[in-house]
Amino acid sequence: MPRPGAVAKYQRFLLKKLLPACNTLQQARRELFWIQKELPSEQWKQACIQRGRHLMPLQYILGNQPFGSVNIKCRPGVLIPRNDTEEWCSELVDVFRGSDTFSVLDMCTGSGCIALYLATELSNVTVLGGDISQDCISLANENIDVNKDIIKGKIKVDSMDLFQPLAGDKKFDVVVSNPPYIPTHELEKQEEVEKSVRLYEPRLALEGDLPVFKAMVTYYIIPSQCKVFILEIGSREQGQYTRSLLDESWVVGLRLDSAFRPRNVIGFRTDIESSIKRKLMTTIIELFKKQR
Amino acid sequence: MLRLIRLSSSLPKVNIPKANKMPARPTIAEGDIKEKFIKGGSGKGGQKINKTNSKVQLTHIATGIVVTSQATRSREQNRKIAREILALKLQDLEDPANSRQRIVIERQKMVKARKNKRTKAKYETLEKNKQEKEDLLEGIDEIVFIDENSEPIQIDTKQSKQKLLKQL
Repeated sequence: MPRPGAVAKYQRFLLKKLLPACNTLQQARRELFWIQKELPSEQWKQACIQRGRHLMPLQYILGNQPFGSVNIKCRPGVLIPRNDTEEWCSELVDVFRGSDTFSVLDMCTGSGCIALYLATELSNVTVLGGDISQDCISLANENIDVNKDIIKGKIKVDSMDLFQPLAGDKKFDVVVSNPPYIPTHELEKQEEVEKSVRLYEPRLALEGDLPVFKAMVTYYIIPSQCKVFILEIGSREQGQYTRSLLDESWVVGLRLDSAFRPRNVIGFRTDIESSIKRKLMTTIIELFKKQR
Repeated sequence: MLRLIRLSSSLPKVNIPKANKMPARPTIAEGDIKEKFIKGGSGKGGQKINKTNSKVQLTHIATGIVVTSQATRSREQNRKIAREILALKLQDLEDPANSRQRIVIERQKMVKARKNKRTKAKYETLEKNKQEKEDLLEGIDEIVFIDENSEPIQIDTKQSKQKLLKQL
């Protein structure tokens, strides 16, 4: 047994190592608590140095991130699931709970978090996750395996390129996506993008702007004949642009996240079931008008 | 700041159940609360920032009581924890004498008191035994080592007494 004084001294030493990556002492204390809870004691020091000095995301160090009731494995090369994404997924699940069986395409699935969230919360769903990166496909498959006991619906992932048309004539009822949406000029700026994100997370999953949304609409939303789509966005313009690519049979609106930032563009066709329409409308804060 | 302090003596005595027979955890109706997810100060969001904590804040609409939780990395877990804390607080407010919160605290106090009592008793016995041994050697003034073939050798009495005490 080490002396109590020595334990306290070591804790302070670890906290000091962690502090540069955390905004507050309380946050550093929490992160240290999680590191000590999830990793064996011989890795604590290395983990704190990786986190504090090298600014490595905590999720890559611990190897996972909770996303709703799903536990998502994380590793470098694949984007870490975000709180903001978790938030809109839980709203989406509430919209479709108890509805008829429907199929979903989750484009740019990454770790598979959105697809898994839907498939574990809803039994009436068939989800296909698509991604261009082989790292993502293999991690998403591992995540399906890890969570196989709680999956209620059907789920599959497949290799798909956002900038190539949808292969075959596959049809989906709903298209969801958290595509790369940070414009190149913002990605370089320290005040725009957190340093640990720039250093460690894959550029492929972050960098993108209007062409991404154009590909999404022309290659996926229109050909799949979907009735509803929800895309994560980084700015209002991306939502407005998405609206401009669709015709009058669509109602397209903006959703804000809980910090009141533009977070989603939501669209649905006017001929869908009225209960779903009503629930979707409550999440939309403002309708985009088609500009002429 | 004004703080309301309730003296435990003002409440009637309560029977403390065994650890496995504690009163059930109170629950709270979803309609009575407002939930909010607290984000940090920076304006970044979405893919631009990678938060490790997710703070959940609950407000009880009728009383205005606010609780927060960010104990775990999982928002789902934090939501559950916040609801548990709020439900405990509300139950304590309605029925302070028999609330789970009070019984849990009373039980913790009891366990601590019991432990202290045991520790105290242990050290009292140890002290008593030590005293008895010391009393036994009290009358000895000088220790002399005697060997058949040589002269008696005098040794340091103080040191030998301590050695003897250890052996006893």
